[in-house]
Amino acid sequence: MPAFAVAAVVGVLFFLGYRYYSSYLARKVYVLDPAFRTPAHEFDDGVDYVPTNKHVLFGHHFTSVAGAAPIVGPAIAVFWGWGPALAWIVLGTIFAAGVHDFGSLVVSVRHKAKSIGTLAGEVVNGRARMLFLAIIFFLLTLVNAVFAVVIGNLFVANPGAVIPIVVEIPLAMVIGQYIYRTRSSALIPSIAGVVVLYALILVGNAFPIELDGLAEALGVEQTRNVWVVLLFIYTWVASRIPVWVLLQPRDYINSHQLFIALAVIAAGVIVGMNTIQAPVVNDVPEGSPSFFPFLFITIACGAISGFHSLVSSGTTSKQLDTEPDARYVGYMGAVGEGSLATGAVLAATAGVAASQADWEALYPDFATASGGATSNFVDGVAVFANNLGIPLDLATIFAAVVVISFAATTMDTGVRLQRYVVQEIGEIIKVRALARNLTLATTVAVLIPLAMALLPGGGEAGYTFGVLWQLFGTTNQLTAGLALSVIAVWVTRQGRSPVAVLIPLVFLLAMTSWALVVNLQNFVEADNWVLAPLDALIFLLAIWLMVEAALSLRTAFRERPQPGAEARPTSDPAVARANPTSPTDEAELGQTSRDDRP
Amino acid sequence: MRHRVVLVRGPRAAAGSGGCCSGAVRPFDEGGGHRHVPPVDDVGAVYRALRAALPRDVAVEVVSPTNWVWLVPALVTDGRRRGLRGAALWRSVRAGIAVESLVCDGAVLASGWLPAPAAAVTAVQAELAVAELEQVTTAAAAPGRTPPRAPAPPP
Repeated sequence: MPAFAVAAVVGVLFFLGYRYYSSYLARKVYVLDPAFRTPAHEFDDGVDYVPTNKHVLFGHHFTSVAGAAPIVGPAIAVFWGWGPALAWIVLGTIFAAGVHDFGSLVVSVRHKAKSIGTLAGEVVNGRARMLFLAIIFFLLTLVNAVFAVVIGNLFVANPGAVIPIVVEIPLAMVIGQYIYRTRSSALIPSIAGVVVLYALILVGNAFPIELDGLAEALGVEQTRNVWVVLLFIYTWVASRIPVWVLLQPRDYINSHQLFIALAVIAAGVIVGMNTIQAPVVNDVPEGSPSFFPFLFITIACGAISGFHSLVSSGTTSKQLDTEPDARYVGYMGAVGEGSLATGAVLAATAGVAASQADWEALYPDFATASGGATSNFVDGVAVFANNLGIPLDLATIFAAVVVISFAATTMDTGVRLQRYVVQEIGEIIKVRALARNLTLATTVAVLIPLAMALLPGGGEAGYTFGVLWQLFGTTNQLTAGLALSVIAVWVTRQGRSPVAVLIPLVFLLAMTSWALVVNLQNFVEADNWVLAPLDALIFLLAIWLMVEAALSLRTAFRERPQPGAEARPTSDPAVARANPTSPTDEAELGQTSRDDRP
Repeated sequence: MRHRVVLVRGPRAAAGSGGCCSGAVRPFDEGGGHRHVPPVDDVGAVYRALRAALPRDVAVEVVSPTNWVWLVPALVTDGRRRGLRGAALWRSVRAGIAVESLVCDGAVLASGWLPAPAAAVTAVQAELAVAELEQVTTAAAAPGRTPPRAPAPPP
């Protein structure tokens, strides 16, 4: 099957999804109102709340949600064949991610642009906020652990990428200082930064850095673990310095790399006319995890990611100019992420292997597949870049640099956010030292994921990573479940049908619970008493989420306005509490309920 | 939209990117114990003053300096509409994409620093008045076309 044909079909499906399904959501489920006064206008301060052109806002939203995660998940999931992986990406993007990202944006906009955690407390109940805090804690722990392992694996597999990535740190700091001191454009120095970064690929290729000797001297069995420890030492420092010193300038560079990588994949597939070598459905060896339910956990970002609700309800909802713009920004953001995931599938099935036998050698069992997934993506993109005339060895380092840059920035932010969570928990449990002492909070934020990353897992090199990634997927899906339940309760209270929201919600919770139970059984049988309690804890959170969502939905169904009934000015008690006198409260939302009538 | 004013945010403005599971996210702003990123951005005061003083058909866009995908084409389009070409257009775009810039219909009024809100309003209103005057002159010079009405004086 030509990769280009697959990409074209996916493109058409995404177009149809945007054209018709998002239109249905906008008209019938979220009932977008052009006259609604968005928080960007209501609280317009020129800083956080600014009515923003929808194309400008899409740029912000898309670059905030797209990165390493929609690359890693699909590169693992093609183990079950490209058919199921691509089907989940397409269906998940159209019927789950679009509903979720678009919906969390609309609900946040209808509630003064509050974050999804706060909304969970207000729309569902107070316990849901605690639930949100707990899920975020696990999500960040797993994000930091997983990406440390991803980077460690890539450094071991691509020692030529070490110099460009390490030099990117002082390079970004110099760019940050230059922009700050000269107050000039970020564009030109950051493009120069990308050029220098890619020029360093030549240096990295000439002087590859390997830590095998150091690992041997330290008595560490896997070289990757030396990288993991070094990475956490680095993030301990990086997460404590102001964001504008390193994180933001590196973001400038990464924003260019996102578009460059997408362009290279698209152009490489067209020019090279590569064909997909992986089977549509792979006949996996006995004992492998089955694609039901693990496929839907392995691909989180790229099909549906709870993290997007944090972005939608965090910064994006504060800048939405008109409510109808939510369709373009929210739904199209999900489509953009799905496109990146599709590129990852093509790289790991069409780029990485010249024949089906080659591909099967790379994906012989789940442990090898998950351990080598990111390297397979890197090698696949390198082939696409090679189609464009870039020598293969340099193209490989280029692709590794792209993935590592995204993962490293994610780690920086993840550890920083984890510190906030630790401080937040310190405040809740009234441990003053944890809440106020940055050194202590950062150390805790680093040590927990570091322990996770160094866990022996099942003993195989790649097994730990595969399991960690699945746990990351389940936690991410739980965040999505929480956001979808908030959206479903809100839609129901408006007197509209929540079916479009309930379908992905029920599906996600069923797959997540199923995967957690199977994993728990496996961990107990393997006497893995570190991962088993963690898995059990996430399972308990999932059950808790289901109970809260069911109770809130039952209440919402009882209280929902009857068709044709007069709209109640404060039909949503949560909104009435949060927004007693504002012109944007449910007095206006009631009018939108009337718009539902045929 | 007849006119467009672009305000480029400062060097410490919230940036996007970083990838899935990072990005500009502050999940605990509301109800959280502490606010993680203080809203310090000089663009805010200038934006509020401009928005209050300018008519609604003048679009005022606040853009992050990282959002070059939108910013560069917008500055090029506006610059070309003003008749800028070649090196002049390049200089204009380069000045416009600097942090804390103020650009009105492609004319860079400030680059790398922002004037005080009142001064920014005066500069933009003067620029808009010149643009309106040019339109009237051009239309009057074209045979067979009715010149548009002169803009109403500001309240």
